[in-house]
Amino acid sequence: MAEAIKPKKTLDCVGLYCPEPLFQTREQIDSIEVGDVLEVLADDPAAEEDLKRFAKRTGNELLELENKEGTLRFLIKKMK
Amino acid sequence: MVDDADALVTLTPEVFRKERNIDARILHEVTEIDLKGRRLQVRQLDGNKKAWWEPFDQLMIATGALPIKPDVPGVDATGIYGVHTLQSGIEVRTAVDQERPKRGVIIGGGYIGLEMAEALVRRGMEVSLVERAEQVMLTLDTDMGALVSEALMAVGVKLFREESLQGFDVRDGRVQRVVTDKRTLPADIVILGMGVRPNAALAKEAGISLGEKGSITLNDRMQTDVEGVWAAGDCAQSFHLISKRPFYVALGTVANKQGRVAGINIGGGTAAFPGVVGTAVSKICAAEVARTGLQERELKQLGWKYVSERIESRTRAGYYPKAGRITVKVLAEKGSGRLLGGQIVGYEGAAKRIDILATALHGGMTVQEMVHLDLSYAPPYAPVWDPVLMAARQVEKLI
Repeated sequence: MAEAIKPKKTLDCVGLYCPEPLFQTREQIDSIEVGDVLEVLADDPAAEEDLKRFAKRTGNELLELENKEGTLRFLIKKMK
Repeated sequence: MVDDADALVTLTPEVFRKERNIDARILHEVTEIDLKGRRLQVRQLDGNKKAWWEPFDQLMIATGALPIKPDVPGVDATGIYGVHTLQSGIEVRTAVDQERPKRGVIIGGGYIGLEMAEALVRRGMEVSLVERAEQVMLTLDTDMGALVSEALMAVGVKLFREESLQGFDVRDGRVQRVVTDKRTLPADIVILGMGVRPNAALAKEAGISLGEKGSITLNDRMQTDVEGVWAAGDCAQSFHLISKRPFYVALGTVANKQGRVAGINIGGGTAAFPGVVGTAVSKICAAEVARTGLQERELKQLGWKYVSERIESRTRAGYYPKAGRITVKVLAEKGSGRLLGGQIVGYEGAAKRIDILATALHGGMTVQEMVHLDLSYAPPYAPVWDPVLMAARQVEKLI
């Protein structure tokens, strides 16, 4: 197993409803450098689809997505 | 939500043939109904494209509905979409995912407008919505519609109310801007959500009676006024159990029930579909919207005396995590207290509570009776007085 990725920033969206997690993720991605990783935590199930699509659409890489008892944890790497 | 559109196709012609002994022919268009000759003019849309007369013993018309297309300049330009079939939904989604339009403009703030607004917002688009009326969701009273307007704006939709569509600016066949009576809005994609109308042209040409909003008139067995001709679904009329009037509604739940009743009757059995109470539900992101029964506008048109009250509450015990706001409005008949309608806007499972009101309407309950309903309670599910009961209690004071 590769060593754990250390995110540059963590965005906690637990308790926020769609589309807040998407809006805030977009803002935070804008605020980090290319190559940095943003960690996003969310518990709204809609966030999974929204952030997966966001990554695909913007060309950023979704490194990891795990679901721990309903809390989703995303690691998104800014690619451009 | 659903990645593969094929997952939404419930039944294929193969399934019909193999499992149900039904010869279902797709891409075959009926262009004329000859009632005297008891036959249909059918045209094959693919392959050798031939046309012929197909005789029938019993005829079932289920031609659905068509999106209302505004009669304005530029409406046929590329980039303007209606959403009324699975196919048109796929077309919109493909256009959005492949062309990546930035600015979407939605015309109409009803169910389609709301649901499309969510779809576009969640795809990172700038979304504007143009609504002709004072508030969105005309199937709600204005005070409740205002809550939905707020919910739309809270998710970033630019909402333009009391504005009407005048036309579209088009360049090289492609839409560029939406023109309203107050402004122009740049648009990379336009979604028409102006409602639907019955697709009953074939029936009309054949001389079958039409009723509410041009839908095919029916009795409760789903028979039209012509012997051996039946209808069901979005092309057909229904009956409102509260107003006791013919009523047009285009909803899948009703279409299925009507289809089932028609099928039983055509097959030699006996079934009747009594009608509807006008229940519908939708959402814009986390904000849920539901309604049932008659609303103020309909009651005023009928000239009925009514009372109403609106309450704010939570969907769970107030201290419980994730308790959401819920607003419930109940309308009842002045004097008798008979429940006439209800509307809900809220979060966290607010909408399904409309079923309590829908059931009470079917049962002809009064608000006095509703106050004592033995509903379920535990902190994760409701406050100790369910919001619906609270609203009924407040209305009871006014009858």
